[in-house]
Amino acid sequence: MIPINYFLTLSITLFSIGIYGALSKRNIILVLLSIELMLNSVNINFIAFSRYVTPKVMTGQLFVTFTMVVTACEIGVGLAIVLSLFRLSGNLNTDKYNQLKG
Amino acid sequence: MNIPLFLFFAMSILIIYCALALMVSRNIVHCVFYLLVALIALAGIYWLLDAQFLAGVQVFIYAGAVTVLLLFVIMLTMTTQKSTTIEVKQSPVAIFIAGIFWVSMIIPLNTTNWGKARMLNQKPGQTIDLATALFTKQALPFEIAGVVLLAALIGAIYLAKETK
Repeated sequence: MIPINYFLTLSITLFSIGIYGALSKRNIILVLLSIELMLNSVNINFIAFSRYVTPKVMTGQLFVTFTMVVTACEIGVGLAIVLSLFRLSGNLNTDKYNQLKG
Repeated sequence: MNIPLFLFFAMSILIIYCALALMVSRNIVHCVFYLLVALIALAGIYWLLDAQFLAGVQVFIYAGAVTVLLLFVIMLTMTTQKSTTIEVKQSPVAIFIAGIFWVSMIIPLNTTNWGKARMLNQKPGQTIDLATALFTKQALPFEIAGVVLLAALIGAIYLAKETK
């Protein structure tokens, strides 16, 4: 069978790619996509530990259920904010939104 | 080579390839489709871990709802200006931070002695256990999750509404 470190390695790799995307992308929608990747990599960790350590109690899978709820909320509200930002200034470039710069 | 290991490697390579392609692709619609493939392959990983219910939910919520929502927003905000660069100036810094994070996690992860947890030695739980837990012991968090979804729904409608 598959050792647990394989799943954790996959999860860490996906999370690192997500960090890179969230820090370096110019388009706000791409930043949201990177955050989705990071949240999903966390879900792999939860399910892997749930399967390998406590397979009967399924605490990890319960956590993943709630993570998915929160992710759905996050993407909905995030895209609404993107739409209203676009209506406000007509572009989605993260560099352009620097009104709070001192 | 046994079949689960082969499936795991196939899906991992697909996920990592799609995630990297998402990062380098210049067309944002292609990015969303790469994300779609990666999320469906992730559902396969969940299936390998005997989380069939969550694999189904993953396909419904992410591959179904989230991807369609993202495509709608992209089409609503399609700008005529074609940006030649997709990354901001601090891209090398981002590579550095992500690389440091990856190395600092991967080394302890593969040198730790996981003990009994390293290999599968117990029978998997079933979806009915998850359902029983959700509706008995964890009923309050479950209801709160419903309230959170309702609040997010109302908030999203209010934020996206046309202001006069």
